[in-house]
Formats: sequence, C-alpha cells, structure tokens
Amino acid sequence: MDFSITEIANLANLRLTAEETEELRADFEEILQFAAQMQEPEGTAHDPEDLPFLREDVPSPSLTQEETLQNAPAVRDGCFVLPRAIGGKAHA
Amino acid sequence: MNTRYETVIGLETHIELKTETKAFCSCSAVYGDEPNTHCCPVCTGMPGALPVLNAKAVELAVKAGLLLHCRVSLWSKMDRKNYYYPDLPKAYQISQYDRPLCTGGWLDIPSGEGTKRIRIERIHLEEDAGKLLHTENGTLLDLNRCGVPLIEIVTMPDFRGPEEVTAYLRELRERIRFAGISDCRMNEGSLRCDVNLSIRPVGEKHLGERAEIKNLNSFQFAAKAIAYEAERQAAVLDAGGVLFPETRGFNESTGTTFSMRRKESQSDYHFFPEPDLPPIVLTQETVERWKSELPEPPSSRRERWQERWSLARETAEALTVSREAADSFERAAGMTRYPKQLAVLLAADPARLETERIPVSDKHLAALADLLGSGAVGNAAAKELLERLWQEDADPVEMAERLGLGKITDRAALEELAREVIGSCARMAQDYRAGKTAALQALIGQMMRRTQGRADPELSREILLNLLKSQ
Amino acid sequence: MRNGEKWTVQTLARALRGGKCSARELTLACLKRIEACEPEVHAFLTVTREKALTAADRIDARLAAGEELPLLAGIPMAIKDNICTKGVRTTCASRMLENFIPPYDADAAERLHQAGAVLLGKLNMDEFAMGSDTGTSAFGPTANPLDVSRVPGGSSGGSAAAVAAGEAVFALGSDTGGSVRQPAALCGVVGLRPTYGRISRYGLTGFAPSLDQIGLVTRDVPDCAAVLAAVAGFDPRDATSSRVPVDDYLTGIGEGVRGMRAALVRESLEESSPGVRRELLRAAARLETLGARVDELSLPFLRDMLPAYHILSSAEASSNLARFDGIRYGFSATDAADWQERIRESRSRGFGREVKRRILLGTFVLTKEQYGPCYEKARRLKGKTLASLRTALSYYDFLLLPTSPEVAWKREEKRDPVAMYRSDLFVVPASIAGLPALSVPFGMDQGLPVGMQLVGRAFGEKELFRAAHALEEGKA
Ligand SMILES: [Mg+2]
Ligand SMILES: [Zn+2]
Repeated sequence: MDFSITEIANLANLRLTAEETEELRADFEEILQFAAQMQEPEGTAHDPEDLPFLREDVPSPSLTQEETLQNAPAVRDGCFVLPRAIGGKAHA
Repeated sequence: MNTRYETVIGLETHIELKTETKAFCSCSAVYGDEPNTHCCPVCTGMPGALPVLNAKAVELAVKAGLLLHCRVSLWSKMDRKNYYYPDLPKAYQISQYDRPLCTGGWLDIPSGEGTKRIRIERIHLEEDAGKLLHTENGTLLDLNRCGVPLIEIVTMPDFRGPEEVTAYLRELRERIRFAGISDCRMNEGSLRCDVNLSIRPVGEKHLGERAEIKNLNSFQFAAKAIAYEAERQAAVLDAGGVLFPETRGFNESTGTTFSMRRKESQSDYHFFPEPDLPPIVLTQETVERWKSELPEPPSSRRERWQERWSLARETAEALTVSREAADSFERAAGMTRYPKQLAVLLAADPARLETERIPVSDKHLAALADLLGSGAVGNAAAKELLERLWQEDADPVEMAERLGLGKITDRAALEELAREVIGSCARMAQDYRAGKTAALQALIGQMMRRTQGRADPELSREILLNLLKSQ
Repeated sequence: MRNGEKWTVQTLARALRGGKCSARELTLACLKRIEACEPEVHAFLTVTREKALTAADRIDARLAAGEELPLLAGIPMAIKDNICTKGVRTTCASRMLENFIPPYDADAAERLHQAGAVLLGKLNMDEFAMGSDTGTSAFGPTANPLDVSRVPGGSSGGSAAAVAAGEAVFALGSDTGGSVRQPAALCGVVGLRPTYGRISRYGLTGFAPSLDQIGLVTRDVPDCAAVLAAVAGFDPRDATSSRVPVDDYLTGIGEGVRGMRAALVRESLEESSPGVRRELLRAAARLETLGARVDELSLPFLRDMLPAYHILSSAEASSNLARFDGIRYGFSATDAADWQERIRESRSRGFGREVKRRILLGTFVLTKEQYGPCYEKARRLKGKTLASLRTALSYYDFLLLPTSPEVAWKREEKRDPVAMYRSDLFVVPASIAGLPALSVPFGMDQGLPVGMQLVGRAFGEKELFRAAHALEEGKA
C-alpha cells in the first residue's frame, strides 16, 4: 500500500505507539476494502437541498477579552501564550 | 541580472476586504485595538461555533473580479484548507479550492511606452489568520485579525521582472481602493503578496523549478526580493546546482530571501467542501447590478480630464486618490465655467484628499471656482475660502463678502491708494519714469501688499499708469 | 430503578400550574433520584444542583405571580455534554475538554433556558460522540438503568439512561449516525433525530457537520413533540439551519394512522435478531390493525451506507477536531518545548484511543490518493441515498424498521467487531439522508425493550409523531 501511517499521523499531529500503528494499518486496509465494495453511484455529490444563506455585514458585540481568554492555559498582555517556534514551518 | 536567463513571475496577492465585520462572524473587522477584543466563539475556533458568510464580503470579492474582467461563478462554494499553525484557531482556513468566485480576467499595466496585459487566473474568497508576536520568553497570539475577509488574486506567470510586478501592484491597488473594495494599507497588512519565481535559459519554453516567496508587504520589498531571488537562482544554476520547489521568506533588513521549507503540494492541505456552509449562489441580475455600481477606473478618468481641461498629470492624480474625491470634483466641475481652476485649488493639498472626504457641497465648490475664475477673488482668497468651507459648508459668495475677501474694484479708493504708494515709493516711480518698466510691477505689488492681495490687479495697473504719466 | 417514569412534560406542567407541586420540589425529586441512581448508572458528568434550584425558584416565583409560562417551564432536564452551556463545564467526555467552560450557550440550550426548563446537569457520552455504547467516555461508562450490567447504547447513552432512570424528565442528545435513536431504543425511551437543519447546531461540538443533528430523548411521543416545538427553528448563527416554519407538533398527535402508508424495510428483517424481527412484524401488524397500509420495500443500498457513513464522518471529524491544539483552551501539554510539540502532545495525550483512530482514518481518506475513491465516492452515495429515500417517501408516509438489530448487550460481552459495527446499520440511512427518524419503544425481547424506528419526509416530524404515538398507545 502506498501510504505511510507516520505521514498520516504527522498530518493529524498525533503521536502513535507501535501497537496503534499496527491497528491502524488494519483499519486503513479495511476502510479501503469497504470503499471499494461500495457501489459506484452516478450523479453529483452536492446536496440540492442546500439553500444559500448569507449574513448582513452588521457588527454585534464580541466576547470580552476575559471571556475569550478564560480557558487558555497561559495568558500574557491580553494574549494567548505559546512556546516559541523551533525550526521554521511558516504560514501556508 | 544575468542576461542568459529569463525570470518568470506569478503573483498571489492577498487583500483584506473593506467590511464592517469579519468573514464568518459579526465581530468588528476594524484594525488596531487591544488584543483579543474583537473575538467570539466563531473566530477563536471554540467547540460548537459555526461560520456564517458575510454577504458584503461576497459582493466585494465579486466586484474585484468585475474590475479585473473576470468571469463570475454564479455557483461557487467554500472549502476547508486543513493545516496546523498557531494563528489558525480551527486548524483549517475556510477558503475556496475548485470553485472560486471569479476566474480568467486581466489587468493592463504600463510597460515601457505602451501597456502589457497581465492575465488573472482566479480570485477567491478566504479568511485571514491571527497575529503572532514573538517575544523573548514565548510567542503571543492575538486573534483580532483572525477571520477578516480576504481575496486572493492569482495571476498567470506573466511578469518578467520587478518593474512589471511593481507596476501591476500599483495599478491593482489604485483600482481596488478606488472601487472601495479595500483600503490596501500595506503597513496594516491589508495588501500583501506572495511571489512565485523561476528562471529559465533565454529561449527555453519550459518553466524552471519555482520558489514561492511569502508575505511581502511593500512594493519595495517585492521588487528587492525578486531581484535577489532571480540572482540567487541564476548563481545556483551557473554553479551547476539544482533548484527544487520551495517556500522562502524575505529578510527585510538584509534584502535577501531564505529557505523555509520544501514546498507542499496542494494535496497536503487535504481540501474538502466546507460542510458548515451552503454554496454561494448568485443571480446574473445581482452581478449586473454590482457591475453597474463600479466606478470608472481612475486612469481613464484622468485621461479624460487631462484631455478636456488640460489638467497637469499631478493635479489629475491628486484628484483620483479616492472615488469620493474624484466624484465630488467631477460633479462640481460640471457646474462651473472654471473646472481647471477648481482642480488646481483642490489638488493643492493631496494628502488631505487621501485621508479625508471633501466636506463641501458640489454647489459651493462650483461657486468657489466661479469666484476664482471670474477674478472676483484672488488666489490667496480662494485658498482661504476653501479652508473655511472645509470647516463649515456655506455659500462662498456670501462668505467672501462677509470676510471682505472680494477684490477692491472701487476706482476712487484705488486712486487714493495709488497716490499713497507713489508718494512713499518715490524711488520706484522715478525708476519707471526713467524707463525701467519693471518698476511698474513693483508698484502694483505694493498695492497688493497693502490690500492683502485684494486690489484688482488690472485696475491698479491702469490707475498707476495714468498717475505716473500725469505727474 | 424505574421510578417516576410516569412523569411526563404534560402531566408535570399541569401539576405545576394546578399548584400540586412546585418547580423546586420537582427539581429536588430529580436531584434525589440522581443521588440514588448515579453510583450505578453514571449518566451525569456534571450536576448543577445550586444553579438548578435557583432556576426552579425563579420559575416558582413567576408562576406565583400569575405569569403565563411556556409548557417546559419548571421541567427538570439535562443536556448531553457536547452541547455548550454558558458557564457550565462542557467536556465532550474527553480529557481534552475536562476543564472547558464555554462562554456561550448553544442555540438549543438557550431556547430551553428561554422556555424556563431547569438544567440539572450535563450527560455522559462516548468521547466526542464517537461510539455506540457510551464506553469511550474518558470519565467512565454509563450503565443501562434497566439492567446495569448492560450498555445503554451510545453515543448519547447518558441522555437515554438519565431519562429511563427518571433522573431527568427529558434530555438533549446528538445524533450523527444514530447516537440518539439507538440508546433510546436500548433504554426503552423515545428518541428523535429531527430533519437536518430543524434544530440549530450552533453550540453543538462538531463531530461531522454534514451529519450532526441535536436530538431529543423523552419518556413518550407527545413529550418529544413538545420539546421539539421549543428547541426547533431557524438560527442565523447556523447557515445550515432551516427557514421552514416550525409546526405545532402536539395538535392532532392523537389522530392515528388510518390511511397512512408505511414501508417495512425488507433488509432489516434479515439483519435483525429473532426477537427484534418478531417485534418488527408485530409493529407492522399493529399499524395495519390501526388502519395503515404496510408494504415491504427493499433498500438494497442499505449495506453501503455504513462504509459511506464511516468515511464521511471520519473525514469531517479529522478536520473538526483539529482545533483542539492546547493553545486557546482544553488540555495543554505545557511542558512542551516548542509549539509544534505543544500541539502534538496536547492532542496525543488529550484524546482517547477511539477518537485518535477516527481522526487518523479521516485524515487518510482525505489524502490526495484516497479522496476520489473514498471521500468523493461516499459523498456521491450520500446524494444517491437522499434521492432514493425521497422517491420511496413520495409513495410512503414513513419507513418502518427496528432502531437496533438487537436489544441492549452486556458491557463485558466481547462482541464480534462486525456485529458491533453492524449495530448502526438501521440508524445510519436517515443520518446520511438528513431525514427525521424517531425511535419508539415497542415490545420486549429477553426482558429488554425493543425500539421501533420510523423514518419520515424532510420536515415531516408532525406525521412521524402521529404514527409513533399510535404505535405507542397500542404498546402491548
Ligand atoms: Mg490562500
Ligand atoms: Zn468573531
């Protein structure tokens, strides 16, 4: 199979034990089998039921700074704090 | 630049839209405030919060497309672009993948003597990320900007050098600002671009391996980054090295680019349709209406004015700094016999036109131009009147009268004054009689000085001449 | 443990207004019941005793002042712990959100609050609603109050158990792939998954947004109708919520099924245990006796629904659960050296095994290679399901099939994973098609309740209530 469980785990930002990796291999193979067994439906993927809905550009009150930050593990100067970046994965 | 290579550049420009609220929530999109005070469950990615698309953002994105001659999709949708970064709270950006709002446009830019057409591949709608502040002991995250609507304008690889890129950005910024789509304030990050650059031997058809230089937030930096990167790639090839697709950053202090990572393929973002948002469906009538609301582009207005009223280029440019200024001028110009005088008067303070809306009614602007053009008031008085009108919109004719700013045309009064001037400037009068005709101008100047510029210059001249001859 | 089961919204509302009891007394009775049952049942993750009593007192004061209050005023209820409640811890039964206190209310919670319902606390569930037996909760499993050695079903096992045990008069749950209907069936109570978009999802922690719906667990069908009327409706904060007007669900609920046409889903006969099959046939016969016409209908694509469901729900979950990164809220690996490690460690330690498994599965099916053969195909299948069911429902008023192929199983029974997986077979089609489906207790097998499922037309909840109520009244 041409996929790497490690790569998938990296994309999902999860660390895996050896045992979990093995279980996953089986899961992945199973889902591929299931997918292959599904009959090939004709037609489109999008739902004709979807009715567009847009919001008017009118502001309403935000949370207070305190509410926004109340669940954060660390806060300084009104901001969330996170550890420094090591290595330079930058923005997409 | 090494002349053996040709530089091929494509641009992705991100522009923050001028909306009151963010793209998917009702938080204010206003720039600059205490950190994390324009935040809600939606834009901070709290569990259970859902996006709802801002109608104005769609309108502005479509208008940008119309401005750049794009096809507008009457059916489009939002997608999730999944990747982890601390300034992206949901760990996906709501963007558009395979069904962008606008496709296939172009923009003509000045190039050498003529113009060059830059093809636009697509324009899509997406949301901005938050802001990271790196400090000594940790990184701070402010989500005030997070969720502000953006358009990303992607060009074809049509640029061949930094001058063309700069010309494009200038033209683009002017049009976008003029149409009220964005303020394009580069210092606030509301316009920034990514440069895709590759080089190839002259005559080669295939594109080389490209580097993407991220997040350039001034025209100057874009030009510098391009010049540096083209040289760098040439040096690698000349040394027999190989280039590979990568993402690079630009160091503003050294003017150099640096590698950040090998480039992901689009698939690493595992895009998929945003299930929280129904598709965006527009009617042709809506698109037509938006099209009709777009202003005539500033460059064509300038051309028209320059031709019709022989305005100087700088004057015309100052008046097209914003749509409001241009509209205001154009309406008033249609109501006066002296449009050129009005133009020069208004264009005297270009900085103010850029930051303020003209608070004077068209009628009063036209009346002011009439006063100036007909010679009822002088230049200095006209300037003063404009200043006063800026503070309080009133009838300039009445105002000139009330303030005594009109010209002095009373013959008796001017004769009285001329006698005084000749008396106190006997030397100048002698010079004139001795044949130094330039002395007459000095005497007129004296009359002006004593009346704060209000003496009618023609009449003053006539009276002075008569007195000098008769005495 | 089945005390207080006759307490329904309707009888309690009458008692409150007739001065037979106070909201405080009702709340105290439920709190007492909670105290008695919880050691064995463990339906609650948080009990908000003081808040509940304060809210009840406020209702009593308003009733005393002669105010006209909504039907639900003063009725004690509880909410699944993946629905945000302002100021009340909302954990999703995960370490990840063990200490998370939302600064906002879900739309449904807000509407219940407006209606004066009294919140008793938050209910246990499978972690992030991923499971079918309330066994993946990070805070321990919930037991079936009818037989505590058995599972209550899931993922809304806490909701079904609390209502079945008489700890709450009704409860909110969530139904992504049967998570309200299946536990309701296993615990012998009524469970409704409304039409997609009928109840706002705003504030419901997303598992798979295109499938998620808030659902209801009640003691009988009229209660279900009453609660739906209170929580349904358009919400401008949820772009997928519907602008179709909310029906008056209670009026005419007793009109019976005479003249209705029902389709018994043939494949469900084959896939059910003998006892469940017997009850299904009996339910069909009962409907015919009551004047409905029941035909057999084959839905051959039924078996394809499970893989499609798993692909779609995992894909969306992988994206929806990416926001839990230990930076803004939730479990945080504060010992991490850099932010990359902070994110990875917070997620690796904060999520349980099943959640991680589904995230990885979802990430996998969204990779470039698998997107077409897995994700895209499943989405097309979803479109096809909707079209087929819509055609069927243009002839029939509702589909009839069991909710679960078998009754509640023992927790320690090591079940064959295929059987476990198959237990969602009957509930998934309505989820995928976004259609309303209701599970109503009908008959018993091995001394345990069987749930019968009715699947209706989009926004046809009123007809579903009428038919289900007829079955309920005819209950043997
Ligand atoms: Mg982008
Ligand atoms: Zn917000």
